[in-house]
Amino acid sequence: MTLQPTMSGWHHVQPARVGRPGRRSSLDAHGRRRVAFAMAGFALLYGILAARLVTLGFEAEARNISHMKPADSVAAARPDIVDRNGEILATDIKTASLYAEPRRIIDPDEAAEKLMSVLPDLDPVKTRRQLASDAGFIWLKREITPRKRAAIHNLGIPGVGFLSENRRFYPGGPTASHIVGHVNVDNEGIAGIENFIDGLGLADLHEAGFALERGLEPVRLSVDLRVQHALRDELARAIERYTAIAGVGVVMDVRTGEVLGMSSLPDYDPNEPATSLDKNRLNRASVGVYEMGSTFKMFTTAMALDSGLVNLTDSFDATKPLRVSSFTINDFHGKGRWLTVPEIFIYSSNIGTARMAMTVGIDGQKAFLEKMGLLSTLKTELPEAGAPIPPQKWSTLSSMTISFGHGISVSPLQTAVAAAALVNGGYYIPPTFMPRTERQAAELAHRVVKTETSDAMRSLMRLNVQKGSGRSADVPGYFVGGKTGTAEKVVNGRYSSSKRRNVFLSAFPMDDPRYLVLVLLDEPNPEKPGISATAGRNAAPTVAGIVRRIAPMLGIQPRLDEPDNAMTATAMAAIQ
Amino acid sequence: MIRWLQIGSVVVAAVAALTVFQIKYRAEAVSERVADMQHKVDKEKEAISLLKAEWSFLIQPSRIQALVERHRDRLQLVPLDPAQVTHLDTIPARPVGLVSAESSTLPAEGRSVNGSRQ
Repeated sequence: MTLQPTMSGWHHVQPARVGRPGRRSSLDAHGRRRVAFAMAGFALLYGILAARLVTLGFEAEARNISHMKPADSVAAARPDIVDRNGEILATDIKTASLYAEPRRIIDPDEAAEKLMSVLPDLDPVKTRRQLASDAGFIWLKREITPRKRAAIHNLGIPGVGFLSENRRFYPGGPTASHIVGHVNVDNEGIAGIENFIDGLGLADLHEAGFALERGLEPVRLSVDLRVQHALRDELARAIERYTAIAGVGVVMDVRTGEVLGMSSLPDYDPNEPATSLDKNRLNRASVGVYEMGSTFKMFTTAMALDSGLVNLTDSFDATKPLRVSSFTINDFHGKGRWLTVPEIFIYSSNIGTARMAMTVGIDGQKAFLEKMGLLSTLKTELPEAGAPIPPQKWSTLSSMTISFGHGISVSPLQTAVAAAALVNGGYYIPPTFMPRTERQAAELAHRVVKTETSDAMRSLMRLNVQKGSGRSADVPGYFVGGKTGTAEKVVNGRYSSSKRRNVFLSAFPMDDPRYLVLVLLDEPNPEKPGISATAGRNAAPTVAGIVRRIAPMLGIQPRLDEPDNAMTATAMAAIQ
Repeated sequence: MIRWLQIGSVVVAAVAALTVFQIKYRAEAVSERVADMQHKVDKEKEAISLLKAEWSFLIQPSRIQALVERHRDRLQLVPLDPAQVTHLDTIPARPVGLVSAESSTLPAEGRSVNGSRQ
């Protein structure tokens, strides 16, 4: 192909040369034009050559600047994940893997011996055999430390080299595993925030071949590593002390919706992603949905008060069990008399709460729970979210049982978010794992209950810790308020009286709550034989332990005197 | 005249070519140095990130807690109690005359506080 034009070019030039002898004497116009044509042609040709030389010169330099090696693309870089104070939760480390090219090794015995001096855990027989073989390429050891790498490098064995690759490292191990998530072999996020980051466009960058080098902005989370550790540690102790099978803990900022800590035990070590496959290690805080038991009385009471149909001082008949279509609703600590709203709350009366729910009606209850986000799947940055399980048919009976937290399953995180709205002045703020200011939160927030209802709920929760079932959750100086929930677990389709799921939902300091703490213990046993295993006995003291540790970290000043509150006085007066 | 012009232009061309080559080689050397330094910077960055990772591993609360628990006898450290947190204004001023007497008893007092905790 390329030969063809050259040949024809010659044809044009040849006649010009033939005509050269006549140039000096008389050049006709025709010949002159031919010469000019040829000159222009050569000028163009050399011009192109010169231009090409210049571009070639630039290209050669460009190749020198970058030190890209094929090995760099083995595993793409990811941004660090840091907590709200900048502590690293996940980072990339370059690890070197040692390989050998046996064909290029001169003395396999010597090479094996030298390697053994740095890597004593290599199998001597196998290594020697491998090095003496005729293979082109073999891995000797994956992921060795920089120090050993330098030592091997200094040995100067020919035919032995390193390939470096990025590896995700989680310095905290399991501490924040359910939040941070983990990556697969190709460094792609497959769970938690790691997966969320990929959704932000990192995956596209990797696809296009960018984002290989370091220097990506770290991703900051709302999580506080210290709080997360304290939460997990207290939870682990509680599980051990009460021989529970699992536990969930959530710490939230009620003013911004930021999640400061979330732990679900048993958890897994993201440095060994295979451990996450165990079903028992799933994220119970956001994926698991459970009947939350009496904790739901918070929502029923708030609903009743907010509807304006019920006042704090109103009384309800709790003298005898409530019978609805061959089902009897009974009280755990039956008082056998009429109870006021605060009494119903602190004695955790099922009968009273069911009657309160009836005052509002089925539709009102449905609308209220919908508004609190308890009937739809909670959306956060985490890809893992469990859908709530409402009753198939919302009958009078199910409405009554839902009023005290049976017959509807929601995730613990969802419950915490809804409860935050009850204590923060009545605003539902979507939760987040990313840092958020109060102003940003205010833009997202929408009012779900009146300010007065929120005030009343705070008083009731504080009273419940002062006088009711949550006494062991109190931490002097921090005015903890909360509600217990002891749900019977369903075993073989029936509610079991021996297997429980205990919850304590609390906030502090109760006069102006900043943080919410939720603890759920699955199947806790009595600490000592003879005492009960209700939430007040295990979940509540666990909350106290958490508050005691995290409140000073979060900069909350303990105060000696309980602030006066007119609402609390009213509620207090309504208790016999 | 034309001959001189021809010789002159040949000389100029030769000089120009020489200069261009020299500049090119120099540029190459500089770019090599840049690449080399860039490589060093990358290596340092790598080392820093590795040290950061190691540091964050070393200061993990869970690790510190395990260490404190292991050396409890020696360190005498217990978790902070809310009662120990207070505002500076609520602490009464130190009595003036008691300074010397108190400073000598302070270590003993510290030990007794720990003793009473256990």
